Amino acid sequence: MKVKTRILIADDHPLLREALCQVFSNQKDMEIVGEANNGEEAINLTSQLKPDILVMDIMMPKLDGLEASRQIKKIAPNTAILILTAYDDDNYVLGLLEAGATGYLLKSARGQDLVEAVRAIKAGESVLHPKIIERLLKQAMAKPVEGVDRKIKDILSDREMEMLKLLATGMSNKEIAEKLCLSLRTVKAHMSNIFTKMNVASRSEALVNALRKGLLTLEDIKQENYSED
Amino acid sequence: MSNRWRIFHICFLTLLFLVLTISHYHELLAGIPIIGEISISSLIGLSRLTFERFIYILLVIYAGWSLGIKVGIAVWLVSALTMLPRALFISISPIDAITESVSALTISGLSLALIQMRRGWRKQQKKLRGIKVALRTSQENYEELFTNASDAIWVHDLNGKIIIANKACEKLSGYPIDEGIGKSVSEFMSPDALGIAREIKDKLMEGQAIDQRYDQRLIKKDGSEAIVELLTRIIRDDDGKPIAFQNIARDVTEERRLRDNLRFQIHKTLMAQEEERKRIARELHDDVAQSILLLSRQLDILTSGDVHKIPKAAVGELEHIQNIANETYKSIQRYARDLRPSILDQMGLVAALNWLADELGKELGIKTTVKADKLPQLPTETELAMFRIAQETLNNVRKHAQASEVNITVKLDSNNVKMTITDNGKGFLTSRLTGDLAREGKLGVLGMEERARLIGGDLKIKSELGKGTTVLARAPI
Repeated sequence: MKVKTRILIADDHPLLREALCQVFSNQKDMEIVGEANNGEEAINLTSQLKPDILVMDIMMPKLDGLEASRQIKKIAPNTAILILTAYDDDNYVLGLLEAGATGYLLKSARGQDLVEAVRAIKAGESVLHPKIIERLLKQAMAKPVEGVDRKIKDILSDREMEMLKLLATGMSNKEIAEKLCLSLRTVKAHMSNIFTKMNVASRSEALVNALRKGLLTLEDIKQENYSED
Repeated sequence: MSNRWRIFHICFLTLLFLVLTISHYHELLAGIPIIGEISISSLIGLSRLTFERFIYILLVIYAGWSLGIKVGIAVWLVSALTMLPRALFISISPIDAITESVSALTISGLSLALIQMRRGWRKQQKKLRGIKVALRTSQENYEELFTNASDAIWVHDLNGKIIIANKACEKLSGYPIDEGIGKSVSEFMSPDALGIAREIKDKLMEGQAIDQRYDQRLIKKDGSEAIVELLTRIIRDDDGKPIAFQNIARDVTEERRLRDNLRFQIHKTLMAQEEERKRIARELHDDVAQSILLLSRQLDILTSGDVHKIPKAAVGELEHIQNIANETYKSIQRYARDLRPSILDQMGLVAALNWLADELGKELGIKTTVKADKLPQLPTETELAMFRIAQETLNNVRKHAQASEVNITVKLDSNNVKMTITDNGKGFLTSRLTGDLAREGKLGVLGMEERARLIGGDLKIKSELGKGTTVLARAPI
């Protein structure tokens, strides 16, 4: 039997939280493992339950979603955070991603969009617009490289390094599978391994991390999709 | 002297001269009846001719006195020409005659000189009197100015002892002038004020420039405090050695109080406005927006869930209603954001400035860039003040500047965060900033200055016609 995606929901509005739960619990491949009422609870429950994905409202009492994301990234780096926000302009979104969010959705998004976003994150696909990723990477590059992290480089197999580089060009899992003559399942499994080894929860985080740790260079990123505009 | 008198004198003089001359040369005019030999000589022991010679002296003096030196000299010359022929050619005792004539001429000449000297002396006297009067008038005017000036003026010596003070000092200090003179200026000052005074004194003595019209606080007789705008200069003796200080003080206590009150009002207004905006934004966001969102979610669940429950035709309708709800939600969020940008609260100043820049670019196509140092966590008030200053500045760019480029930089040094906003628009005369801002509807600038001041910083605006505008805001960290 297929493993279900474990989801934690954080929203201070009880009725909205209920509505969110309803959306996810209708899906056969997802299960709600907990509900948090504010940022602090979200942190505590995440560290206890280690969910795959945390769906979190940004505006919450006690600790807002942004600060909660920062802290959660430290204690549970493999939990992907999907932020629900009222705004989606670039600066705002970049701020969210900087804080550690894997992706974001507008609060008014349809239930179906939410479900698809969760599936994409789980599959290691990008949930961000290429333009946003480009700006995110530019920001990452603006910061000094922390030095090649030998540990990670040694841990990643050659195959995985190859995939990381392809990922940097913006290819989807399917495209990578075709290029390497592998099945989509295998690619997904590799992605999952890469993320675990790098202690990240998504493509964009893996890219940002790889850049900052010196696993990837500017040239790797610039090859195709992320050319300067 | 009137012309008529002059003519009279000339006629009289000529008549006398003719009579005298005829008498002097009576031998040549034989046949003309002559007043008989008046024996004056027998009376004063002088011959008639000698007497006549001295009459000439009188004529010369008379001419010189009443008709001026030139006429005097002329009469003198004519007298000489008249007397000498007789003395030389006719006189029976020429040596006496010549001696008499020459002495007569000498005496008359000397007399003329004396008259002239006296005249010159009188003239000078008159001039001097005029100068004295003018001097006295000017002194009186000056004293009048000094005494009745609305500014308090006093002079104190190098040790601070008051030497002279005017009436306005009385009003300013509360002490009658007589009481005030001789006191030390330090008696009118708090320790703080004394510190300022010492600093000013030292600078002046060293010949350094000071900001004239500086603020100072004085303690009045009744113990209350007066704020004055003070102008201090050194008084030096003829050798250039400092001997005293002259002070001109304007009482600005009321003005300053009004200004402080105005600032306080602006402060309160700004705070109230921010609080109100925040509250409304929160209500909109937490309450209204969430309810509409909930509505949208419920509709979504209804339409995407078990479709069989609802007739297919109704699904489309419901989806339409959900779209309306979503649009409403977005609008409310936009209003809430305009009131109080959550990006500022959540992501800080730089992100918020980027947002402002993007908005300006999107709205008017103005190329807007933000270059910022990495900032530490700033106090909320500082971030808010800087953001509002930037917002107001960009609003001004929108409304007035006609700029095509705007640059925002945020720089950090050890004590300050400095924000500079430069546009390449049409600029304006900064002198207009000091005018009646309230009447011209430019309270925005006052608000910006006040916001900067409230966080302990300051604001400068530089602009020139045709050369764009730069707004500099500084805040301590």
